[in-house]
Amino acid sequence: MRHPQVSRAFVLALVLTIIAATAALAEAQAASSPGVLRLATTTSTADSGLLQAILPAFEKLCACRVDVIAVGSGQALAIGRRGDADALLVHSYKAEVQFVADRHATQRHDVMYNDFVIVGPQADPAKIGGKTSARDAFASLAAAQAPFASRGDKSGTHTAELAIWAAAKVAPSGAWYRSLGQGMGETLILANEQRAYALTDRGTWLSMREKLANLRILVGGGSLAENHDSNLRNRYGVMAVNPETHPGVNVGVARKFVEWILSLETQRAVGEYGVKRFGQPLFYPDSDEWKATREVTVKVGANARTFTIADLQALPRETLTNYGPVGVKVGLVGPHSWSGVPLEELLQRTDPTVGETRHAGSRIRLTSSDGWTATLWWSELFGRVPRGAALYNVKGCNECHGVDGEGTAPSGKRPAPALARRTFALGRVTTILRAGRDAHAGINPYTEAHVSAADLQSMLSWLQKPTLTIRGDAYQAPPGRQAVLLAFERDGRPITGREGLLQLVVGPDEFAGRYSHWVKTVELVR
Amino acid sequence: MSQLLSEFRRPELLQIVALTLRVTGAALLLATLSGVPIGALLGLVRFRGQRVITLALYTGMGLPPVVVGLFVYLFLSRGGPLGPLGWLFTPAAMIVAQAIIAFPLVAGLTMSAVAGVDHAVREQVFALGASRWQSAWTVLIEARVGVTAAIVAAFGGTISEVGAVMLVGGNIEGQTRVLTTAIVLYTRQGEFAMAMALGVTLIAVAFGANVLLLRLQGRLRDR
Repeated sequence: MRHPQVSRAFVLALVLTIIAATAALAEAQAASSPGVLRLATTTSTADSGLLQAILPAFEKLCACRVDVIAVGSGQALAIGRRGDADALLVHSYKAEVQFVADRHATQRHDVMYNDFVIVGPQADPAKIGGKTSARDAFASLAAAQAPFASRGDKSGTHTAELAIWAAAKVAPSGAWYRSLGQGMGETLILANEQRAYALTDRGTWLSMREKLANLRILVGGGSLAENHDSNLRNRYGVMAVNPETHPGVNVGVARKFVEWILSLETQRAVGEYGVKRFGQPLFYPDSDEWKATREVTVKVGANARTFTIADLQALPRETLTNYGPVGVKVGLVGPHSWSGVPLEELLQRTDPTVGETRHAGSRIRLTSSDGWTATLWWSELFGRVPRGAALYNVKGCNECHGVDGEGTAPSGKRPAPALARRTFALGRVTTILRAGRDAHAGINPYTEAHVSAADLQSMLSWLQKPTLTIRGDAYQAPPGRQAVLLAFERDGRPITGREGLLQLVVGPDEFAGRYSHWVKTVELVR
Repeated sequence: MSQLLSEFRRPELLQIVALTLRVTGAALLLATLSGVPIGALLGLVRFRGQRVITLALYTGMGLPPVVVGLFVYLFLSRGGPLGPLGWLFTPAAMIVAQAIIAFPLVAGLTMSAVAGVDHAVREQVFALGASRWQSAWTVLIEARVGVTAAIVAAFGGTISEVGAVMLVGGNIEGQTRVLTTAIVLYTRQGEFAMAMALGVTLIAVAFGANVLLLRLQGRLRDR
């Protein structure tokens, strides 16, 4: 009664099962190992081919594998909320902020942006073509009851669409409004088939344009530069899932990924992707590091100017040779020869009056994209003012007596008399200041180290005639101050890579040693 | 047409087919190894509550795969009871989901096949002095056509399934992208030629696998 053939088949099946089960287990083990990053992202980053183009570089860098789970932003965030992904790359700003507020991530970073456009049938029956405002266009669509294909899937695009409807004060419903619950590609294909309008990100539109012959862009123009509605801006953010709330996540690789995607090299690759094929980028780099190194914003009071790298290169340049800032890791920044624009030049071009003595005592604060700040004294750059005036401000007399010695009673401070155009006896003033008594009672004593007798004499003589005209005795900034550079070249080559294109380099003297990279803003503060 | 043909030369096609066969094969083996004995037992033995179990099995045969996917997802999610395994978005999760989908098909159809074996055969075997296990085995052999049909049905059900594997696998390129999820992806991107090529491949794979199974069935029947 035995069936040898069947038994053999049975044994074979058993062996195969054991092999399959082992393989499955091994695979599962590999998937949860530290060598894998689970990246939950939106369909647009994957379907556009961007991730395929840039991720191999990261996989090589971290010697790991990236598993891309491409779903709508809503679903990607849900995956992150359960701790089933290590990092998120999504475009649903408000939901991302909420994600951080709920402690699923500690920080959200801008990565890149592109824009949304409104596409519709060639014939454009609702006549929205040429409108510059998405809100107006949507209002017209609702009024015309024109067929509209909505993602309806809580994705970033769907969220943006709902925000525009809300701005247009329309609650879309009815047969003309088709909520699909599908991805961008499916939605566009349906719109193409049914001659419907739709909101799409430009990247997906460009990559699928050839297959959508019945549709054209009606609002948003031919490129991002022609899109004038800020409501159509599409921002992508990156977040590493918080290991405190989700202990299972691979936080090491996730953090590396965040750092990598924000880095200059990656940002450049993002900006270059698609240019050859579509004649324009599909995504525009937007990380702080990238922004900081493309341009620097200089603020003096109400005046603000933004200089791009090209602007800086067109300005007169200075070079500081064979110099390495102190207080920085050896080998990291020097010694090198640095070329750039003197900071003084940038400030002057922003506000020609920046050198006036009323600014004495101010500080110049440089902020980097990573939050690091470096500070310089105004006098370090604009010391060519009457020595007494500079001292008067630097030593803080202006705090109570006014920048020009006019006397003030600032709120919260005690009234101080005017000092300008008055004559004082040096000995009397010295006693009052050194001891901190009489009129200066309660004020910290000024010792010889704070204000020398010669300095005091300079101030008093300046106060007799407080003007900016230099009569002999000028406060001269220490030599080499013209070498306070915002450098964009090192050893004759543009500064690239992780160090950022714009670096503050402060020349060699007692003020040196301050150094900052990724400089984003230069601001005159009091 | 020439475009369709050139799509077949894409390197990822082979990898997708290989993964599909691995996942579906493993799920099918798990479902067969558990489903055939349980189905045979239900077909042979009478006991209390059997009707309830039978009903559950038949319901399971019509279980929407995407619901199975949802349950597996929630179980394997980091926040779920089996989260520490780290199986979500791996082939292991897909195998689990597909095995759960295939199990009621295998068990249910095996049960029907075994129950359909002539009682006379069983009595004859007993009369010849066979043990319980021997007689069960013999009845199973008698029902082999039906059992093979059960496996064929389960194979067809799992290899063409898309909702559950999309949910629990995540459609990760090179890791969890199988034929059905790849078809969804390429259709979404408007790459209809590639989607079509994958569709034709899926049908061909299913056809080939069925030919193999039916040949095995034929050989068994001829004996």
